Amino acid sequence: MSSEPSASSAFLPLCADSNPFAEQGNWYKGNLHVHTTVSDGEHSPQATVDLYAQAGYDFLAISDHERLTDPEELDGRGMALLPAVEFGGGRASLGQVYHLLAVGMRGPAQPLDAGSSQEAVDQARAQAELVFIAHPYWCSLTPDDLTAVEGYDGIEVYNATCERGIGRGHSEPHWDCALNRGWLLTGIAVDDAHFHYWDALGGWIHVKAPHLDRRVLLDAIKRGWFYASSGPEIKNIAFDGDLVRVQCSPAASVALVVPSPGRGWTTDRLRDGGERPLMTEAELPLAAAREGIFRIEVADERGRRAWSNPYRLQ
Amino acid sequence: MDHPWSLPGEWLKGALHVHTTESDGKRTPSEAVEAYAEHGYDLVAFTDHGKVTDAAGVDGGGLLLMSGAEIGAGQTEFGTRYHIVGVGLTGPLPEDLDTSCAQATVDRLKALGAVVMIAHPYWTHTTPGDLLGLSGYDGIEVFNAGCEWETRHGDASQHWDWLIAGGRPVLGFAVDDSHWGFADFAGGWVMVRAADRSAEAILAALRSGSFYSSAGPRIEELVVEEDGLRLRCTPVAAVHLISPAPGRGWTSHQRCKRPTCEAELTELELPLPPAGQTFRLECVDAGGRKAWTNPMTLGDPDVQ
Repeated sequence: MSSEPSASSAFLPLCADSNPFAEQGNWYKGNLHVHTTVSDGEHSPQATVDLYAQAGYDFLAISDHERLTDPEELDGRGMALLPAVEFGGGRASLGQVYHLLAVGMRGPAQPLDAGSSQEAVDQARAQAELVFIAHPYWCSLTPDDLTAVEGYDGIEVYNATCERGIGRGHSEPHWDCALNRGWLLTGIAVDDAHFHYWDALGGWIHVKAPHLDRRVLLDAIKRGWFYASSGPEIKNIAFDGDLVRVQCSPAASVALVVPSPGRGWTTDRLRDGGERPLMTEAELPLAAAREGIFRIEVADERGRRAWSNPYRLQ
Repeated sequence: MDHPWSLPGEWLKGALHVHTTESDGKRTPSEAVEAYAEHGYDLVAFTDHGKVTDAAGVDGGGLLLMSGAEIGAGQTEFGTRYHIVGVGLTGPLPEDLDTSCAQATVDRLKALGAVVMIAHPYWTHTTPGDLLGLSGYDGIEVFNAGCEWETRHGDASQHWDWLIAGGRPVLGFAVDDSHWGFADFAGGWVMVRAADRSAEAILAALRSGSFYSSAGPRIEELVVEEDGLRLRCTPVAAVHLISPAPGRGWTSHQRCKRPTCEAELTELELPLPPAGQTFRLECVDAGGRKAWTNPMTLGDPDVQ
């Protein structure tokens, strides 16, 4: 476990003094990855905005391929709209391109013209506040492909269309391996909806911010003050001596996930062979992390999850 | 294409990774067998740490018992030992077993006639380099229930795909790794299609991939037809056709055009994967529990 600052981005692990659950503000729900008729999506940009607004989302980033769909030309229906683009560029180990989700675009998209994968990341980062490597499992990226480049903010730990399209939406092993190598990455859940089949409202993030504003949201996401979900809600993560206390929507299990061999703890250790009631509170021993990086994961009875960003407590 | 559902024989439910009081398990071999008998198992393999627990001295009460061992050997990128499980050992471990080298351990266990698997790749945090750097093993533990419940690192489906994408379509075994400190059993198992109930037939079936793995669903039938795959199973929420190639594959969710069409599937037609492309199937039930087929390849790409 590297204790050096991340080679990857400005994100520093969360801790007791930088814990979004302990901060003042509100939780805002949003999706950072969706396509429209501007690229290969089924619905127009405004129809897409309308769908998410009706579903109760607070913010949305339309992220068409290689082209900026300008939020200024849309009615947000009360949501904050973040300018975003999904770029393809670089070459990973199987010869495939990286998909880079650039959120907080500063202007129109300049397609990546990169000689190397690192240049692709650099070019995306030069155009946007935030860069995430999209759907690692769908792309058949290995952890080596994630740690072959640096200067990005995180990965899509869950991508709903990839799960519902080809069964490869989860990228926890990629995340953990990168964390283990010292790449301090955040994890977002997204839809990446195209609407060719039902692939919307399946992955999102909840951001803690003082108010709903594009600039404020981007800053909070940059700091990792959010958690990702495909279903469960995390209501609180609080530190109390040797314990971390988690409050959540009804969960089948809550885990303190440690990205290093043999470590970690889950409430499934309390199994006694009988039916277990769902829980809305759990206490997890911090000793399982042994002062290293850890993250909190909540699973509901359908196997849907919520993922905190990485923490480190001294 | 041969696959377990096309072969004659019977289905046997097996626990291939079980600890007892002979190492760090909390139940004796007999107590472990009793627990598995209650859950409808046909087969239990004892795999204590660093030693062969002799199954011949244990009353199986109708279950077939096999001997094996789990051995720590070599070193992975993140500084831990590979855990290597060998099932089907008939005598004690050789005194000169070289555990400083993982490859030597794999090779020796294979030479002793064992079915050899890399245990819990996610729990050990083996990287693609770790897994591809060893060869000659039969497969990996694609699911380890004890690891899932202990640390949330039990599902190694992605690690498997790193191997398959790397040209190494090894087998995938679901196991318990039961230690009995909590109810860490009956969470992952293999369904073996064996010619008969002998240890020889079971080991031959395991070696040849004539089995599937499960943490819940039962796959009752798989038929390869000219225009698709036909699958019958206990009720599941989705069936995935997993391809190692970027962006390739299919799931039953693709047929769902509305948010409210969550279906319970027991019969399904899947599109035929391209000839020569390795794929595997996953059935996922409403609780997120999976069943995994072994990697399959249709046809001969050279003939197409």
